[in-house]
Amino acid sequence: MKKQFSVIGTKVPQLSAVNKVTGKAVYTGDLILPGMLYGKILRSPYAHARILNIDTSKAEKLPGVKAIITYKDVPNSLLFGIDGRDEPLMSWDGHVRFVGQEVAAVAAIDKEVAAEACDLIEVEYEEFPAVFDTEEALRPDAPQIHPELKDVKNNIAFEVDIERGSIEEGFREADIIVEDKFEISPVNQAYMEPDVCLANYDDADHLSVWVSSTWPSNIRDELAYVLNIPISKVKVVQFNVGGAFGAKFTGLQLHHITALLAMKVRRPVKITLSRTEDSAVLRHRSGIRVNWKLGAKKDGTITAEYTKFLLDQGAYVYMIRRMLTHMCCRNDGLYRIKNVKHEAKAAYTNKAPIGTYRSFGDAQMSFGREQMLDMLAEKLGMSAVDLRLKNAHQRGDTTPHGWRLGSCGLIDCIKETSKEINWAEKKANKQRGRGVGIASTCHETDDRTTTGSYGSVTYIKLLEDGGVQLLTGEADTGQGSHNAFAMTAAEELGVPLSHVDVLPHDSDIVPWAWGYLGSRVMSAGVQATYLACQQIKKECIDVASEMLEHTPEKLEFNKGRVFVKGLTEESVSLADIGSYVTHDKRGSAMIMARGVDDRPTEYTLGADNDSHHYGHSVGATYFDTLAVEVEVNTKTGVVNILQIVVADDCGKVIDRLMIEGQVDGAVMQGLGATLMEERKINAKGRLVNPDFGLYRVPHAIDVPPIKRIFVESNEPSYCYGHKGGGESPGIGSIMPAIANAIYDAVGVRIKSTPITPKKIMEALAEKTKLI
Amino acid sequence: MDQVIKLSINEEMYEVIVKPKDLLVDVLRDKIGLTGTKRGCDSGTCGACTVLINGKAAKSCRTKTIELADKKITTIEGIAKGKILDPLQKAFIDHGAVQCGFCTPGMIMKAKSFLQENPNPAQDEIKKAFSGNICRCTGYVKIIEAIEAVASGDYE
Repeated sequence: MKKQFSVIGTKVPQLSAVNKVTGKAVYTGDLILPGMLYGKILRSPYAHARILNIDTSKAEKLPGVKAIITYKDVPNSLLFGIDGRDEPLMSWDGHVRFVGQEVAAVAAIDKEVAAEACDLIEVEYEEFPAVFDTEEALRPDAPQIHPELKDVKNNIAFEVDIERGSIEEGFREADIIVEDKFEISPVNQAYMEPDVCLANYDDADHLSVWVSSTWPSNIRDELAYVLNIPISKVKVVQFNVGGAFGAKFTGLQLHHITALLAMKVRRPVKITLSRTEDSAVLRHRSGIRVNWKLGAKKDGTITAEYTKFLLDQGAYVYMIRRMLTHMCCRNDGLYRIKNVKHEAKAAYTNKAPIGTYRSFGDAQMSFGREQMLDMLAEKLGMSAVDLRLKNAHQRGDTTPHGWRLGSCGLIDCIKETSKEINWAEKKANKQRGRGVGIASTCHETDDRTTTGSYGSVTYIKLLEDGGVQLLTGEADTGQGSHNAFAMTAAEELGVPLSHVDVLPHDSDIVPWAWGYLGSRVMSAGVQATYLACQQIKKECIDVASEMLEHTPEKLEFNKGRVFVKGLTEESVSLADIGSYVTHDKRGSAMIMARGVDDRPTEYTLGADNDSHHYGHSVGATYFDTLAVEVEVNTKTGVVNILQIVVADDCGKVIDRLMIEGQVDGAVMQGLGATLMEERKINAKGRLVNPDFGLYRVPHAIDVPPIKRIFVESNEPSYCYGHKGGGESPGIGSIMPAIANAIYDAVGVRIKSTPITPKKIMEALAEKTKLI
Repeated sequence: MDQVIKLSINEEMYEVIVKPKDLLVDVLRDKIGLTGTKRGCDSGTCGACTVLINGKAAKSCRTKTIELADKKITTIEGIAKGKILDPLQKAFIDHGAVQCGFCTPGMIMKAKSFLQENPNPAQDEIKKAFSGNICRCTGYVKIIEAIEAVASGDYE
């Protein structure tokens, strides 16, 4: 069934764009409230230490200082963390575990006074030995980062061991086995707006907090829980967010500390992190080392896959259970491999805790997996494209972890990208120093592996002029999710986009939501909006029945009007209905409909939060392939990206303009992580490249020609056949695709990121030596 | 030491008290309330704070306010004529060159200055000119398209 759409699938500029181009769009950092103070956080200069004493007396005497808090003001019960509450607001036990950890905070009349006061706080530390490398952290004699956690041994934060089928059997069946080891570096989301929070606490004990977040509902919950305030008295507000890319996710120290300062002085307090501070503590993408082993038959059928990996967790657990299980399960969404085993460990280190990064957990696995496929193809004497096509999942398959693939455009993605980049021709007529590479990734949408729930809720209110307002707790951090909601309402209700508004996040008004992760807002949020529209239609028919004096069965909704079936001249518009319920009925029949995307999840966590995770625990799975042509300068090691072709199986395009931008952005972000980005620390654990001067991200000059292809595989789980998109192609596939292309160009395989000219030159020198 | 100076911003005069070290970005945002100009870094490397000083793009986080007494400052709030948007503003909307919007004011101000100096740029010239303005959302593709569209006269 091909449905004809009037709005869905078109190019609609962001509804918020006009205020963004005129400078009127409000970001939390722009807000100044009457009587507002400026806050500043004092952070640990040591990676691992005990605080012997904090003396705030000099700071307190500084004119303009209104409040100081230290761990002494924070009861030791105030621990948080999503997958285990091991994390303090401030170092409550006097134990600091990474450079940048919160030690004290000040609220003062201006930024200068707040900074000066922080300088006047005297902290006496006893420095402990620290550990920064994951393998060293696991040694029995390594410094123990969490001696207070009795279950933690050898700094292991979490472990997963999943086997499906039998890898022993799988490798026995194999004619060829390849093994290798890969490593990717930690990278920053490097959103443009450093994190910021504004809090106010009034005399009736209402806490109001303005944030910049992917998941504002969680910030409200965490504030209420950690600070022990009734949820009814916590308000979280958000207007625009200056980028997040997976970070700025949950309630963090910044929010709690700002709130605590506001509570202490009962005045508004704003804390804006500097870029340097933000980089030091942001929940960045983890570094990881992965051992890979793949086995295949001579015909290219992959029979077994084994990975063993070690992830750098940083000082606190945060979301590591999710991270590890996602990485394992998602990895196996791509290819038909019956026997798989993943052994994963996350190690505590004395570094800032890691977190969620766009395309959560994909790059860490794809970098090795997609290079291993190429290595296997070479040994088999097969084309890398053919090997992928032979093993690719298809519609109707179930992955080894029980995910059913209601739609799967992977084969189309591989075929279309390889065709577009002229794969066969490029391979047949190889030019010196040039090469092509290909790689794929998949990503689930509305994942329930971690909680067994999710879904989304949208409320729609019909106004008296026939326009509608949408209430959603799902955030839009710039990617255009609210556009998709508005377009859905416009499509379903026949209301012009000019009469549709998505209200800014105010937790007192909007429904609770899971937040923006794994494209779930696009899938579940659009679905909820669609369902709310159906409810609006139903309620409009009921009201129109009274207005037109016909039974509801005789009425139909079409393009913003309710008609008497077969009588086109007898109808009422949405405006007539909105006005009727508001004015004629004195508001007593206000139409406000709810849409809920709620569906059964065939997965529940085991009693012990076990690692089996079998079941259809996702809304849908989306696929992508990225092909790249590179030229490698063998005298300098510089990689020149000649062209990128990227195919995204998003199910169905909702807003073409937005998804094109998402793909471009992901490609360039991924290009940065492949070729230039890396968080670097010194011997004391201090981040040495916190700013854009030293942490180089791609600039306009780095943009290669990018050709985008959208594969619309029509996912049956969602109303428009849509699922998610724009995350994995750039983030997951580009790294191995570039590595594969470099190998094709000059015959060296780079197994760690970033792929720098230096690494290429060293590999080339090594290769020459071997010859 | 605090000094009172007069600033011409978006063709209006403002009298402000500043310290010699006060940066324009902070004065604009905190004292004058023109918050369209953003601060994205500590080192003049992101370009989000770009404004025009006497028509030329300048990073307001690298500019001391005290030196601007005789200069004309233009911020993102000053380029539309009432409700009529500047061609660059229109092009950024139409081309989807705006996502989170945090870099947008700086990008548009830089583009305004750049197109005055080079009204018919080649694509490579645009790419080079924007080496001091970072965007993390769009991958620059649609920003470059928007600037090209204005340069080619699509918005006249």
